[in-house]
Amino acid sequence: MVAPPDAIATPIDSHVHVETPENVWLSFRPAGLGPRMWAYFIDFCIGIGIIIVLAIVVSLLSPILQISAAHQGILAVGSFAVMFFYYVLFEYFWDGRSPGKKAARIRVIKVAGYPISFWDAFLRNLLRTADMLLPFYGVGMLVMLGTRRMQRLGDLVAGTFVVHEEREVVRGYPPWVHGVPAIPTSEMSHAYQPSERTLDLIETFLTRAQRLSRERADEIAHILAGPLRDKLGYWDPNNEHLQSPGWFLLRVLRTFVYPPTDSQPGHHVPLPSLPVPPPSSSPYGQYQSGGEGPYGGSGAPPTSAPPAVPSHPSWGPK
Amino acid sequence: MNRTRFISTRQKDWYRFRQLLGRAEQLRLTKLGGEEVSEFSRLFRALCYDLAVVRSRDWGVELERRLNDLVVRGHSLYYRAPPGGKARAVADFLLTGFPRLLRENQGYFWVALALFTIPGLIAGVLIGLNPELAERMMSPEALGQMESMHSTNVRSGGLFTGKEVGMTGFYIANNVGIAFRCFALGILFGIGTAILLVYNSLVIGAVSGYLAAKGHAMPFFSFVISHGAFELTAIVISGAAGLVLGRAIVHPGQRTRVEALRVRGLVAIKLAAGAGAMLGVAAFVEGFWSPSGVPMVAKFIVGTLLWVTVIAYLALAGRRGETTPEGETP
Repeated sequence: MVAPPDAIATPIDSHVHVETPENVWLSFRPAGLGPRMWAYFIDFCIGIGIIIVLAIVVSLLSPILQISAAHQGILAVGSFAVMFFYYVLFEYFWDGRSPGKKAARIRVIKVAGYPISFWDAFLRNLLRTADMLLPFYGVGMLVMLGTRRMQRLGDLVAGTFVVHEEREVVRGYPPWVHGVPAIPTSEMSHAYQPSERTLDLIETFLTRAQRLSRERADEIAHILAGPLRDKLGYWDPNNEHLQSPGWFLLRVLRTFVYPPTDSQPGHHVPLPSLPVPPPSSSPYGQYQSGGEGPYGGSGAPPTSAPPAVPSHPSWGPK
Repeated sequence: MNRTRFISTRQKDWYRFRQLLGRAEQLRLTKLGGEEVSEFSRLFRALCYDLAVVRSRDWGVELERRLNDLVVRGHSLYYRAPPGGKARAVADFLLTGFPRLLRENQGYFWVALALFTIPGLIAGVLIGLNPELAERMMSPEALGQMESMHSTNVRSGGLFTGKEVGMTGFYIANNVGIAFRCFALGILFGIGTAILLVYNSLVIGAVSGYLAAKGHAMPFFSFVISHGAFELTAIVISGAAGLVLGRAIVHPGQRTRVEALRVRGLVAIKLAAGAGAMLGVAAFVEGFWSPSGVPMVAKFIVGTLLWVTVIAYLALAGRRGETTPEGETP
């Protein structure tokens, strides 16, 4: 059923998959140049800040404590420590995050998905020297562009990589249900409640239909649409179940599984309201009007918003 | 089971798991109570199963992403390195781990030693016989400075002027920096390391030869002998660490280059860390003892003892209980 991700010939996104001892795989999104440069910039400023503060403190204290001769040495140790140990200590004690990385919401992990050890932090940060050989981390950048996990030399040797931290708010239902009008009870003459299995089937079908051509999806949907309409006694003013049966199934799902206004009793979390997708300004609008998405575009009743929401690549047309 | 039903039955567990996660991430897993830990592990396995279910049924990218995120957090908490005394680990490493590791990889050490001694010896002998040659390597001002600095045995004014601290700080920053660079540049096929070793060797050889030729041999060597035990050895070890990296790239053996780097990199960084620690010791000796007003004879005696100590440490420490080498033999 679930193809192990490595079996997919060429992944089209940059996700990296790691299999855990529990036999599930985790997906990580490697952080590219942008967030890492931003994190570096912040860390750089903090490092400079530490050295400046140290210099001020030492110069204020040295007349009092009579340590003027030690002045230079303390500063030398301070800047040495910032240069070599700032990252090592933060990444070790903060689970792979320096302050800059925290701000950029990225984190260093092992390629196997678990946190880095002290030696990993030490190794990847000492090797900054090698990554910095060309100006502006030139070597590191070149190596990063050539590796799938976007690792610089230090990452390659330490077996680590930098990932985005995903902290996504989850919606209660699939985004493509959004904006689909439910079938009003007044338009149905029978008090028929579709069985759970039927609704489950519809949902599974619709999820997968995102990857089918519209014609093919409608062809399959047609098999169920007709009988379902008869059972519901839906009078179907636009002859939907024949014109675009997939759309009809979507409305059934919306009516019985994701009722638009009142949430079902016994439902733990109220379904949050979804942001309305921009109607035609999104680049996906064109695809939909071009008829590539299964239930977008011309086949859908003109009164409703397009059902497909481009919130994730896999919802888009393939 | 339908997606909605699935979410509504499983959601309670997910919330509970997230709660535990939040606490454990702040406190570390060991601080949770026993029952909480077993609950955590039960919920974690259930969550992994849920994630697999959601994937196999294609129940939506959003849901999958949230579960994935939770599993990632749980995974990283569950499979981290075992908690343990950090001070103990450091002591173990310095007392046994480091010298053992060095002996396991002594081939690299001998090569680095050759790179670090032979050019210096040649330069030293040549310049000792013919001091004018030194000016081909260093400017006359630098040589003059060296000469005035090392013409006397004692350099510090009193017992404690603060200058010792200053110099110690400088030595730490400078020497450990060199050692770390010497290690890191090994990734350039070992060439970077070799260049640094040979260069430093030549400079040290030239200075020694020049000062000897000018008749300052006794004060100079009495100054150098004590901290040299740590400093020179540590530079050679950091060179060996760089060569470990270099060899992993040049001659990865049965592994791919990246894999070889990953395996040998751990060895290399440990050697470099040990060298860094030795240089820290060297800096204190160099800052406080070497320039002090103790008679030269005492410095030679102590210096010799320090050499014996360092060699004994590297050659013998951790011999008891030593197992077969983990890494591949060079």
